[in-house]
Amino acid sequence: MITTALDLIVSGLFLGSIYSLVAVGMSLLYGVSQMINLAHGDFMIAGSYITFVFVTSLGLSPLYVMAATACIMGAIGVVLYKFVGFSSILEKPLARGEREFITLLLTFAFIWVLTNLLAWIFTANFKTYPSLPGSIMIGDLTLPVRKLITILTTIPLVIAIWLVVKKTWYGLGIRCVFDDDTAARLMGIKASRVHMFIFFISFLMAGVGGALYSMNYPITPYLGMEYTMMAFVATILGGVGSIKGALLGGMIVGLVESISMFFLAPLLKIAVVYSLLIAVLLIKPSGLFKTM
Amino acid sequence: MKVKIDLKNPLFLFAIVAAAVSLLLPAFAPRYIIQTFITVAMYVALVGAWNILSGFTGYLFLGVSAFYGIGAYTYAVLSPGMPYYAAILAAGAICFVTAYLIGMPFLKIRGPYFAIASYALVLLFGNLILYYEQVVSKTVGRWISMESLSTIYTSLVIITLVTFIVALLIKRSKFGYGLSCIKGNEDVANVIGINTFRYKCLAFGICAFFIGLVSAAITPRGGYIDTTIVFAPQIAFNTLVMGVFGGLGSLRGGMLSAFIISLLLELFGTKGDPYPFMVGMGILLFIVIFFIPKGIESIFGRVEKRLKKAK
Repeated sequence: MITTALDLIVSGLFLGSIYSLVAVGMSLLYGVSQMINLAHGDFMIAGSYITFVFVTSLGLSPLYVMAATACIMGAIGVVLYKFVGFSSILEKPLARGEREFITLLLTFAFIWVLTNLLAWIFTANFKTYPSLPGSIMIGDLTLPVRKLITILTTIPLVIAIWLVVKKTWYGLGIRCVFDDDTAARLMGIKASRVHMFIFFISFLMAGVGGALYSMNYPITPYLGMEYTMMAFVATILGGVGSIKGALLGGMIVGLVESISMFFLAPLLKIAVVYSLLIAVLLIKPSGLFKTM
Repeated sequence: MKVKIDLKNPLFLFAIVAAAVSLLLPAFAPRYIIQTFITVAMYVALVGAWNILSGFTGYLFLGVSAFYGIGAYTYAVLSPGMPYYAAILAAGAICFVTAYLIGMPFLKIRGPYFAIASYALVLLFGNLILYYEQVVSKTVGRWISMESLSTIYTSLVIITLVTFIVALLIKRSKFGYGLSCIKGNEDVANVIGINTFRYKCLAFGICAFFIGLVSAAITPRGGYIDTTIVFAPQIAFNTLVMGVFGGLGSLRGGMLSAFIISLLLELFGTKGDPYPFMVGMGILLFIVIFFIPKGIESIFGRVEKRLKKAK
């Protein structure tokens, strides 16, 4: 009984970690840079493929590759911001709604380009590599090392980013832009640099998430949609733009998912999480936290 | 409300000729051409239906394949006991009811949240139906008795025409003005006495109704469906690209862009590797957003202005 409960909690936290990593990126992008990234889950899967390529071609341990993947994805984020038009969208004097509409369509196009590019290069078959072996036994409870690593990488990383935003001088600038982009510009904050940093961090988190995902599951290009949705629910639940909210929201979604998978059926988890989303949007659309 | 029928208008004449030619096509065209034009008619109708919700009210609907799947499954369940046309209508009706009921909580969500929630509808309905199939009916997919190609084609063309006529009537009616008010500013629309909630639900229902008709009509072409075939995000994406390329809310633009893109899709997207073409579709959406954000409609507008000047 207790073993089952603990098992459910651990797998919930494990799923929640991956959702949190995606959700932090989505939340920051939407809160600070006013960009709704519908493709963030797909970018995570792209990160998985980068990890897969490095691990299979160089034979390195996935743990080292994770750092490389994160950096590459961060660089991709900066490139997207600088050269694919997001900077021009953010600099243009558009109404907030219009900007959201454009980024929504743009990122929807990204989903398509990305998934089909991945399917073109790697085929749509499931890919996997030998992951970290071993597991820890506590009583009857078996904890695979890879799951523990996922949880123990995510939580400190998210907390570290939260501390950077909360405590440092640079983070103050980010919070200013989060509150009011125009006013921050008038105060002499280089908003474009802040946006670039946000893109970097968001995609870095997606890269870490992708690396951790590929350690645990076989990958195929079409998985992104589900993760985008789960991370979106986590984002809304935690409050848009809030880092601690994204972490907490991700964990809640993960726990809800693992519990509903156990008591109902794996296929019904989407329905449960979806009802959660609708409920949050109708009852408390601002989410749990309003500040970063 | 009156729709003026002006026989001298070249556009109107063109529409009649096009409708006549497309209805008579099965009489002389080979099978392959009919196959191609079934897809074309399907996308033209889907874009028309999509425009009733997204074009008129500005609510970006990314979940076309959700109702596409529901329509197809309804048809699959009903078709053994029902004639073809009756099953199509029943599928449409079920889509309407589902959309209306779902719309009640769902359309209270606004703006980008609506778009993402509607994107997730595909996953939601896909999983629910898969669950039902696995647990209750214990099947993986469903076999459907095939209909002749010309029957499918004719019914799709008729559905397409009806979709566009209904969309045109809506655009010119009081209902349509209400919808465009919602697009402009929903709070103001509410204040001036439009029952925005009912209007949105109704628009959503009508949109789903036509999507259901289309998918039910096309289902017997393949003879087999399962959840990955009918709940394909690809259908939603293609419809969106065509709708945006045609110009949001523009019926003629949507029709033209759906015709062109789906024809290209049939000619180049179905042979060999489909991925390069799909990547191209994504890049096309980029180009449209950055360079022609108002779509084909803006080109129409320019041409019309020039013609007026020439007169």
